[in-house]
Amino acid sequence: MNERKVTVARAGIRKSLALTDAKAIIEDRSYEVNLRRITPWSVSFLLNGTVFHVSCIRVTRLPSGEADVEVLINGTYVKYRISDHRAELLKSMLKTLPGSTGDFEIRAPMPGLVSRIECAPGNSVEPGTGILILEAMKMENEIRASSRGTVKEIRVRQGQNVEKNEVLAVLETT
Amino acid sequence: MERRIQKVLVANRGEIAVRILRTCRDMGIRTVAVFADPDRSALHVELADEAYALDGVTAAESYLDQEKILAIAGKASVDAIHPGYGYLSENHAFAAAVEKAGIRFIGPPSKAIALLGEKTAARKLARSLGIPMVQGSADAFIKAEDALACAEGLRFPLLLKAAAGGGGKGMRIVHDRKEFVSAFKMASSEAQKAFGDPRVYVERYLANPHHVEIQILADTSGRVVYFPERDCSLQRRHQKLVEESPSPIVDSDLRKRMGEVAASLAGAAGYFNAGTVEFLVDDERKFYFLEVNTRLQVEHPVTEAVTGFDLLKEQILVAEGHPLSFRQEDVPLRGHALECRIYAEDPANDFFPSTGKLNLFQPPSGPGVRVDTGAREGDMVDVHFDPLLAKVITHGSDRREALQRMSRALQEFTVAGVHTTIPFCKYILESSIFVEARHTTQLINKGVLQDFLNQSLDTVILDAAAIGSALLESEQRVEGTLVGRETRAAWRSRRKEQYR
Repeated sequence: MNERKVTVARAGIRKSLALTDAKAIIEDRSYEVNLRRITPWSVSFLLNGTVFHVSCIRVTRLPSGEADVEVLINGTYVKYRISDHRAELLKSMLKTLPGSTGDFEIRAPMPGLVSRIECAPGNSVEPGTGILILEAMKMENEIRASSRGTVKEIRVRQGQNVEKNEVLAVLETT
Repeated sequence: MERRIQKVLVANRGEIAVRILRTCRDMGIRTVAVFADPDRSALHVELADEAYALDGVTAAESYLDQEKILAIAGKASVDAIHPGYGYLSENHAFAAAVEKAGIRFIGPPSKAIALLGEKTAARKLARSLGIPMVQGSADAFIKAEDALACAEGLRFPLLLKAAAGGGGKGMRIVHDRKEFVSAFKMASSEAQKAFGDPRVYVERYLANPHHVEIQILADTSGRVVYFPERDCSLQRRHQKLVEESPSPIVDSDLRKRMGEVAASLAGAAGYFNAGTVEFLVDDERKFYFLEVNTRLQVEHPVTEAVTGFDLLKEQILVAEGHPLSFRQEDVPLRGHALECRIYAEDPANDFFPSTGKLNLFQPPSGPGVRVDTGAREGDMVDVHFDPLLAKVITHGSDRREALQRMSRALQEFTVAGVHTTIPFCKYILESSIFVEARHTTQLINKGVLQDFLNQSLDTVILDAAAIGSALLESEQRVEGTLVGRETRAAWRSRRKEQYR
C-alpha cells in the first residue's frame, strides 16, 4: 500500500516515522490517524481520538534534500528536520563524491524507471542541475548534478528500467 | 470652547489606525485614511470613509512625510488629525504645524510634547517637583569626556540614553570606566541616526527593575485624572512584549502615590489629552521617574479593559474642548487584564522581523478576549513597517482567569507563513516565574530562549507534531515540484472519504 517513511529529528533526537493509510508508526508507538482537513498550511487530524491542529510557520529546504519544518501545534512551537528515504540516499551519495576534477559517474541510488531525461551530452551543469527523473517506489525523484561540469554521456534512455548502482550518466567535472 | 469634530484624518497604519477609525465611527465622525503603496489594500484603508495615497514605499516617503499628510488634510477638509503612536505622534513640530493650519491635533499641545519629549528637560521638571528618579546627569552631552566627568560621582553600571530617545535606540549599558567612551560614541551615533539629535545623558543602571507606568488624561482646563497602573516588565530588546493591569507588585497605596505624582507632572507641564508617565520600580517597591510618552500607547487596551473607558473617545472629547466627564474617584479597577503583542518576529533568531505572506491568519475570540489588528489573511508582511501584527487582550475577574484566557486565545490564534511571538508569549505566560509574577525587565535572555526552543513536551504532542510536519512538508512539496504525487493522491482520496 501507500507508505511514506521518514526520519524526524528534534534537539538531537531522531525518530523513524512511517505513514500508511490511516496509521502512523513512530518508533514502537502506533497511532490511528483520522485526517480531517489538509491544506499546504495546516492540517487537522485525530490521533487515537485526540484532536490536533498543526499549522505551518515555514518549510526550509536544505541542499541535502532534508527539510526543516517549523509548526505550531495547539499554540506550541515545534521544529523538526525531516529526512526521507531519498534525502538519505542523496546525502550518502554527496558524501562519496570525489572533490577533484575528472570523470564522475552518476549512479542510480535505487532501482527504478527512467521517466524523463532533462539534459543532453555537452550541456554544462551546476550543482543542483537536474539530470533525469527516476521513478521509484511510486515517487518521482530528480537526480541532480552535485558539482559543476559538463555532461559527457547519458547511458540510459527514457522508459528504461535500471538497477541500483547502474551508471546513469557521466559528468566531466571542472 | 466646545466644537464638535466632524472629520478626522488618521495619520497612521496597521492596528492602531483600525482602532482609531472604529471609535470615530462609533461617534459618527467621518474618517480619512492615508496609505503607503504597499498598504493599498490594507484593512485600515477599507474601514475609512475616504482614503488617499501617500505615493511612497518607505515610512519616510509616507507616514512620516508631514507635508504630504497636511496637504491631504487640507484637500479632504478634515477638522482634526489623530497621529496614533510612532511616526509623527511625538513630533512637536508636526503638532504645531497642525495647530497652525487650524486643524485640531488629537493629542497634547505641541509645547507639552516639546517639553516632555526632551528627556533631560522632563527630568529637570520632575526634579523640581520632588519626584523621585534614578540618579543621573542633569544635562545631556555631545562629548564623551564631558559626560564621563559628570559620571564621576555615580556608581557603575551606568545607562547611557539618548536625550531625544525612545524604543531602546541610542541606549547602552556601561559596566565600567574602560567601556564608557566607546559606548558613549555608539549611543550618540545611534541617537543621531534615529532622532537627528546626538546628545546622550547618563543614569545609574537599575539591574532588575519592574517597568510600571501610569496612564493620565487631562482636559484643556488643566484637570488631570490618573488610571490604574500598567506593568510592562516583560520586554525584549528594551521593547515591551506583554503588559498587564493592575501590576502584580503594586498595592493600592503605591498606586495612589504613583498616580498623584504622574498627575502633578502633567499639571506642571501644561498637559492635556492622554499621556503616560513611566517609572521603574525596584525590589523594595521604591519607584523612580523614567519618562513621559506624549501619545496614546500600544498597551492602552489593558487600561480600557479594567476601567471600561474608551480612551480614544475620551481623547476626542478632550480635543473637542469638553471638560472631563468623570472624577478621580469614578475611575474603577475591575478584575485583571493582559495584553500580548503579536509581532512577525522569529524568537529563534533573536526576535528579528520575519517577512512573508500571511498564508493563514485566524485571530481568536470568545469570552474576555479582544484582538486589535490591521492584518488580514493573504497580506504581505514586509520590511518597511513595524512588524506588530496584532494585540491580544484578555480580561478576567482576577489575574489567574486573565492568564487562562490568554493561554486559550493564543492556542486558538493560527498564523502561517511568518514566524510570530505567539508560541513564545504562550510559553512565557505559562512559566512559573510569570504565573508567580517574579519576572523583571531582564527575564528574556538567551537562556530563556534556549529553554523555549528545546522545551520538553509530552511524547504524544511531539508525535502529533511529527505527523503534522511530515504531512505538511509533503503537501507543500507537491505544489511546485515533481516528487510526492503518489503520496498526495493517496491522502487526497482518503480525505474525500473522511469529509463525508
